[in-house]
Amino acid sequence: MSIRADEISALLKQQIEGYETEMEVSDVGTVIRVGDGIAVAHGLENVMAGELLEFSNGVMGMAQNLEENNVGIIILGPYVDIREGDEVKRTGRIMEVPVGEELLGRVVNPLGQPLDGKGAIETTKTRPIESAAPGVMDRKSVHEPVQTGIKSIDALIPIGRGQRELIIGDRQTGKTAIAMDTIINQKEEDMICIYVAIGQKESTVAGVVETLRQHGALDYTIVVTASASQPAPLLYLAPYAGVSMGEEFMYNGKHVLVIYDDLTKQAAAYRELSLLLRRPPGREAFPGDVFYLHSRLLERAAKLSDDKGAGSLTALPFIETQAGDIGAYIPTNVISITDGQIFLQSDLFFSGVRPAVDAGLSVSRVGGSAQIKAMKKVAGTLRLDLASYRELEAFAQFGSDLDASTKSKLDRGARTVEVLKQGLHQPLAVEKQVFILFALTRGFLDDVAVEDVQRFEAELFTFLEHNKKDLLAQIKDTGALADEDAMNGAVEEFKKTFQSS
Amino acid sequence: MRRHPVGFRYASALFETARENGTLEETLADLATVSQVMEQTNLLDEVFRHPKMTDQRKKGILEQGFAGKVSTPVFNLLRLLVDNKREDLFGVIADNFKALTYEAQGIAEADVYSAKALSEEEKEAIARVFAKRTGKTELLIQSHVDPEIIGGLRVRIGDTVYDGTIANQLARIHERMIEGNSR
Repeated sequence: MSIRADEISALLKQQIEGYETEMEVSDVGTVIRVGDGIAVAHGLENVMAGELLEFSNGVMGMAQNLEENNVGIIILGPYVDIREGDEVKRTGRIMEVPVGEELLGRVVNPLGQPLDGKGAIETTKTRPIESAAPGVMDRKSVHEPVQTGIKSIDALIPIGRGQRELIIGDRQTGKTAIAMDTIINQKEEDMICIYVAIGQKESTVAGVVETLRQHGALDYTIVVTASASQPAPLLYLAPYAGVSMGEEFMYNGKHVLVIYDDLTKQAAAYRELSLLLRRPPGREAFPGDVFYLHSRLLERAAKLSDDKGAGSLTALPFIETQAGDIGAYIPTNVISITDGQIFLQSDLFFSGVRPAVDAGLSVSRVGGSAQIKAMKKVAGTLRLDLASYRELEAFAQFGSDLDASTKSKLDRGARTVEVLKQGLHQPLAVEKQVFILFALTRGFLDDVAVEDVQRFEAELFTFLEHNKKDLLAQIKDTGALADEDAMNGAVEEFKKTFQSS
Repeated sequence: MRRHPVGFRYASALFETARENGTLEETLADLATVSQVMEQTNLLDEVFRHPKMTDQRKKGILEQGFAGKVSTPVFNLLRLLVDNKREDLFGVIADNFKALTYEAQGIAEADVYSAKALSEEEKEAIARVFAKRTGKTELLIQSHVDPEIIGGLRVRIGDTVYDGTIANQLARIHERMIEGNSR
């Protein structure tokens, strides 16, 4: 496109001539105190709670505390240039973020401004970051599955569309890896993913974006990031910005997955600004409304009724625990809000069970009804197998003589653990998951050596893809198990060719 | 008006008294006098803060200074403040009282910023226009000269700013050009 310089000048001339010399009327206040990320202003008499304010240097703020003779403001941007005595202007707007399909594939900050250097985002719509959650009549119970592509989750702790499933564990137990695998697996699932990084290292976020790009997952993903170097107000707002972007899709009948990585840091950021705003501290110095902070965020996840377009918004909040302590304040709060939790254990992680899902402590309160029939059938006994294996494992370490039934339980357990192991960024289609779990629960793996199980699995999939494609397609299309004899036959046929090492 | 959590209680008490006695104007003038004296003599911020100062001596000083010269309610207020150890609040009380009185009488104060000094007629014209706009009966104009606004006027009444200055219009044109759209 080429525009000549004189054309631009003519355009500007027109604009200048046509400029209305109207008087600008604004309500103002005066800054009386500035702290880390917050300011206190005098004046601003008619300001609304949560209203956007503009400081004299153009930085935006948000009114938080409305007190008898002053207003507490959180500053959304660099605060070093704001001085005592500066003017603060009301804008009359509530905090909003841009929403729409234009955001897909982009990396933005909690205000919706691009951070990926790909230019301006030409969105036409905005949404307030705080909005009411769908009510009782607008909702429907969760019934469609979110396929995470991770065997241990899809089989044991299934997640449904519209569910809120907490992912909790110590640092370095593979929480973010679960998020990545889940996003990567949504390629064929018609899901829009929003990854909200709160207080993460910039390098980690860059790594996440690069992984998503390599797996072609960035096209249907929005990354909202408030990194560790950003002031606390932006960290506090990031999840709300993310969920608002997701809601727009949900109300248009689409399916959305929002991942908050992680809410512990958001709570810490909220604590920081609450203390600076001089709100009374409570347990662990968190303010009194820290429960509401998370409950109002997670309530916005929903499966909408057919009248409302049947869209859904699934939330996967993350919580980082200290030394496996799920009894701390924030973890117990979020556990009670969500519809179940996936507990990751560092012991399991270091003993090589990855993803390190603790099947005993993890539950999904509503996901069971969202599981496909085939999976329900093959995974039914899995949890029991694992539980009795963990129980017997401790005894078996002492005794040498074991009766046959105990031994068979131990063998089955060891193979179950082996089957549930999965490599990083290798999500598995649901029909394949069903097949390997079918082979496991029907006892086909009992005579395969434990160290051969993973190779057996990989070779089985290759065999099925080449020789029994119709069986896989059938499971995928109907959601039910294919003819059991045919499946038995397929596994047996493969087993004849399998060479144990 | 921003209400001081404590000062406003004293101010409204004094306001009620003055209104019942019909001495609003007089009280306002007395408060202004006392404020001026306090400022000139550093009575509140230095003398009364001295560690060796007792309530007895404070009252003595006040009696010498103000007895008979200001109305009884104002003088009593000063002594009450000493008793309650709230003498620091005198300035705030005076401000809040002024705001209450102005509100009751439909008067407002306006800060007018212009590039050149305003003539009396101009001030009157501004007072008339803005009094109508804000629904007040009278505007007390405080004029300021600020060459940086280039031209036009900037009027501040309470927390509301009416900005029709050239400087502001230029800033808005600047903003619009950066954004690349005309709102």
